Amino acid sequence: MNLATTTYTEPFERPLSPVTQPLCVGTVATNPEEPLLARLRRGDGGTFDKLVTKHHGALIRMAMGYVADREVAEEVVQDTWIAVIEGLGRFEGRSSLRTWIFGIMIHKAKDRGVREKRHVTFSAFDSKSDENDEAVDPARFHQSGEWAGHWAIPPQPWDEQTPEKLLASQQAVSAMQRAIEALPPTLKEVLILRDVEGVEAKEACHILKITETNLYVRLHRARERVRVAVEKALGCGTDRTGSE
Amino acid sequence: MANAPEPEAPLMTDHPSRSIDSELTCREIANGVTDFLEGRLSPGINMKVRDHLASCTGCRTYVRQIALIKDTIALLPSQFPSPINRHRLREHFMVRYAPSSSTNSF
Repeated sequence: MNLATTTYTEPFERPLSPVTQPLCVGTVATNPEEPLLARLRRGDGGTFDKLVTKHHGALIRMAMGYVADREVAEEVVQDTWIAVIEGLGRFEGRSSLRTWIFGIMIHKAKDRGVREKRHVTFSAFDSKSDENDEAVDPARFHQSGEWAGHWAIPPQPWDEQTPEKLLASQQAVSAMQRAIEALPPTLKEVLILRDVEGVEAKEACHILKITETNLYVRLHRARERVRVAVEKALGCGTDRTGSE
Repeated sequence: MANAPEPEAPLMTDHPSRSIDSELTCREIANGVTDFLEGRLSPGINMKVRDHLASCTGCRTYVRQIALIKDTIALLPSQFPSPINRHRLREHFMVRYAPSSSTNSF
């Protein structure tokens, strides 16, 4: 681990306040996270624990899109937290704390992935997740005639129609987790930020440096892949679906 | 009775000739469901999608399933750092910001 190599810079999400020294007393009103930052900078271990607990799972899942395995992902995220600890004193609050933390992780994970020559795999993934492709398998729709564009293989209703019921199905949960893990990084990062972390679209675009249109195209592709996995797990799929 | 009504509402037919003409196909609806659920569609397109959903069982099912996936993903069990890593992180944090109490542990 070499902290000196961390070159990720704090993005500009919030407009700069006239006061450019966020550590000064009197800037609280300009940054809603300033009380949180102050507790961290005072060495409040409980606050730090909560911060780790809140984001660590999503960081691990996202990191696994860039690096070879879970062990390396954990190293990347561990390094990310160390960089966060070291950088807290310099963090100026121009982005949200979350944007800053995820930005550090993505920077480190991509760097580690490139060193592991995972970029070759990225290219393969990226070509599969071309934004011009449709999210839903075209084979599920009629191609011609009066039914053209309408369902040829419509989705069958599931018995599990609430999140609680779906979560009670071990098969469905395992299928969802496997499907999420198998997503290419471009889809996984969007799904985790929006649907797991609940990050607002604008902030997610800022973290990932993509347009809002791209964000939603990728988000729907990711959700559809998870849906197809559940469909198969619940025995509602067909041989013609999800054959990627 | 020969002409007894269907138990389901009779308008819920998927044949395009009998559905409400929304000018949208199921394929277009399915590929735009996230935009619909996230409220990104213009009022005009949004109305057309709603018209389509009113007469298309397949698309209603698809919209429900994508919404269910979205809501369930948020509730999936999260992954936490192993205890040893968490302990090391806490130690590092305390040494950096509260050196006098860095011997505290969980």
